[in-house]
Amino acid sequence: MNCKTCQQDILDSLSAGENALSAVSARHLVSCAPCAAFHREQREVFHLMQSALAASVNQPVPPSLVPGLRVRLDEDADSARFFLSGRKRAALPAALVLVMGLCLLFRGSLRHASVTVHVPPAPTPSAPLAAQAALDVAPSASAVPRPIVRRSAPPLPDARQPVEPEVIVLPEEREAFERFIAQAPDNQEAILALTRPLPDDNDSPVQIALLAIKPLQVKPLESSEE
Amino acid sequence: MQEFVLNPPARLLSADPAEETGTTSARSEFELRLRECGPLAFRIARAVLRNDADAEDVAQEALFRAYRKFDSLRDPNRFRAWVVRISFRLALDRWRSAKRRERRETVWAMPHSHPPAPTAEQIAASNEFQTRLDRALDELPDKTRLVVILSAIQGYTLEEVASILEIPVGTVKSKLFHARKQLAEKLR
Repeated sequence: MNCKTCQQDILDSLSAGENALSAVSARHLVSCAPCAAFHREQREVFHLMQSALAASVNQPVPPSLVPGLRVRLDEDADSARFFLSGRKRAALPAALVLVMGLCLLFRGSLRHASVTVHVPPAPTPSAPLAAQAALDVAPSASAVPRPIVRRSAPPLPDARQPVEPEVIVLPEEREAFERFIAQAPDNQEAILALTRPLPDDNDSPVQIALLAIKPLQVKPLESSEE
Repeated sequence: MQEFVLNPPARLLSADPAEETGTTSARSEFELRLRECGPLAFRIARAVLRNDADAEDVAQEALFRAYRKFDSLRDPNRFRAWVVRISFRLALDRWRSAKRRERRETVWAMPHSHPPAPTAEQIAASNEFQTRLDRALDELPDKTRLVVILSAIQGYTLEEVASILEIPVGTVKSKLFHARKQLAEKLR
């Protein structure tokens, strides 16, 4: 047996937790001083390792471990009892149904609420439309963020009040719109047509008449020679 | 030696007698398991974290979770295995996050400087062997590390370790063999 094999055998036996070496290795150790020294050294390393590991692991348990756990368990039991005990447990589904009903009701009412974002003043016949439109245009249009317009169903028309023209101009188009109003021709009707809101009622459906083909009369071509 | 007994406080007694009986019996069963599993959870966490306060936190958290899952963990072996695994996992998580924090703080505090080399007195004063062993243990794979820790805990035979980890005894022996060899190589 050579020294390398013997040292490997020493390491294997110590790693396996066995103190006894094989007979061949034991005989080699008697005659080889370096291997005997290696054996002593490795045995010490393994012994130190085991004792250090045991010392690190087998620390005394702190006495506050259980009281701390008890406090946590009590708190948990408290909260569990508060939320899920006796009659409260029975009332929980009913409360859930009530909350869901309220939520649905609230959503429904929100849907019907009308939010008017932009209501310009009513135009007067004397005031020029250009000035009227200029009122709606913000001076720093580029800095203003794009408005979010939420509109609900149109309000019922009031016979006493005239129809108010409503112009919603995007911020990036306001400057151009202002220029257009300033340079617009005197044709007031054209401006009104541009600024007036679209009527709410839809166009009447188009009716297409069926193609009617009258009875054809086939006549022979008359020769011009006759 | 501390006593592991959890007595339910009188103020927490429920109005429902059946509920109260169920809770009390679960609690008393849990107390019985706690006598063994309390120290076990602490020691596993302590072996990973090497800090009593952190190990206590982790053990409490593991036992608390075990109590909440107690209905599905009535089997004693299953309970013990579960507590061991959760303690080890929680301890590893905490250890890793502490390492990350430490590394980050070191980088921020000293971006371009290296720590000064320890003097001979400092090396002598510190338990260098223990430090090297700890470092070598940290480098072991998680499963092997748990086997090493459990087998080092006093009073646990290899058969019990195998039963806790739900693996064959041969696997425990093999893992221990390789772990010891690896540790010895790093300590040499």
